[in-house]
Amino acid sequence: MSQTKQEKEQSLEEAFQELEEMIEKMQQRDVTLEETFALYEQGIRKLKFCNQKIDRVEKKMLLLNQQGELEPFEEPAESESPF
Amino acid sequence: MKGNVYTVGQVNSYIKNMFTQDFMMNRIYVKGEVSNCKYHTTGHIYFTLKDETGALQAVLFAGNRKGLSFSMKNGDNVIVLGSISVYERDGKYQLYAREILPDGEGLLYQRFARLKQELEEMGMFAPEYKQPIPRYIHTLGIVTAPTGAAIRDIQNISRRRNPYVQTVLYPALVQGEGAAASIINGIHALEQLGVDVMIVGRGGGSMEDLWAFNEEAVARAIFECPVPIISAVGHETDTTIADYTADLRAPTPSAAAELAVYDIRELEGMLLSFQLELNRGITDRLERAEERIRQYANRLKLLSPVNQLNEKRQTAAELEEKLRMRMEQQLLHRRHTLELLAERLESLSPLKKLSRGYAFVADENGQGICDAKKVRTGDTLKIHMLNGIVSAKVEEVEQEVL
Repeated sequence: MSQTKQEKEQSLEEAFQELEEMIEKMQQRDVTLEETFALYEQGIRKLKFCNQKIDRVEKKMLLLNQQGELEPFEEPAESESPF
Repeated sequence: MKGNVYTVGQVNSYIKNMFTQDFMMNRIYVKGEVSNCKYHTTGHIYFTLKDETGALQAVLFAGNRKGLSFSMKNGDNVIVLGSISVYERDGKYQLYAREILPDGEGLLYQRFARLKQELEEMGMFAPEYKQPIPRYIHTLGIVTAPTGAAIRDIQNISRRRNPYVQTVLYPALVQGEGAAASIINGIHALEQLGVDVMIVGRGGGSMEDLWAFNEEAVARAIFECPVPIISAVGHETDTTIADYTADLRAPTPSAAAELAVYDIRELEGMLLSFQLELNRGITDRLERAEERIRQYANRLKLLSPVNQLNEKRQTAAELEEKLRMRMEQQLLHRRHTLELLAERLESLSPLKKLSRGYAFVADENGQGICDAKKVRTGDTLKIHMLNGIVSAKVEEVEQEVL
């Protein structure tokens, strides 16, 4: 149950939920400065994780053919197909 | 004449009862071509259903008019749902219609309604079986035709909202022979590929065109698929069995793409706002700490011995200054007094009188002489007068008593 493993399995929704909680906790007055620092560090790490999780590489549509192989999908022409 | 004799009413009543007792006759679908269609002023519609073999009288009472959703006319092929009973006055049996559907679609509709009811009773539409659609996906599977508006719309919207989501199309046959099997294969293939969400659907069409999405096998494949499925069949008004078993029903393929693919700009905005909030959180906290440190520093400074020393030094300096001022004032005062005295002295100086013809007489040693008794003949006198001193010899002394 290492931290990284946990993060790998975490979804963006869960990460956002955690971030919300961290931020809320940071704004409480009874939290010590050390804790705030720890929360900030954790938050920044979480943000980095979120950013890494979004794979910002443009993807082309793929076509799954009858052989179960993936091939690039040529965009359909602007045809007047009935469906 | 042997046996019983019955009245017409008895016979008709007997036959009517036979119809009423008959399970089949109470709920039956009859198809045929409409003829002799008469819309009566009372709202009832009288018509005849016929085929090559014969004809059947039918009536749709005004109270059942909502069972007819199109304007029926002679020559229409229809399917009529109703009961068959006897009209005793004429001694004729006829079809009492409750619902009239155009044939073709009518048949399909009937199958649709039956399957829908069946599957619904099995709980396949139940909300507790619906899987949530994950908000942030990496791969989107699409089962639809590789040509046509549906795939184009999905592709456009997906790319506009988030070009980083990988879309995978399973080119399926969406109508006609083999369509259902093709759609099912697509669902299985994309499931195996491990997509995060699937869109299964097609563009609009007639009920017949959309029929594959009303097949039980397709509905089951969608229901059983562990990957969340968004259905997108036809237009907003078309609802198929597939729509009921899907985890989410989108009114159109475009809408399905919007539901499946999250907007990357929205996400980026969210991440940015999280970052800002984190930064603000820590900055606030640090500022608060700094403010407290400043306050403590000030309080400490007030209590510091250095401060006390300084304060004393200050007091000393102030006292010194006061002292000096007092001294100066005193000096000034004295000097002033002196000046006044000097002035007065000056004004009293005998020399002043010399100018008015008086002279100051002194002996040789400068000792003032103010008594003639002290002067002897032959003494030298120094007579101070204006502009100088005159030395004089005393020739004679005359004593006078005043």
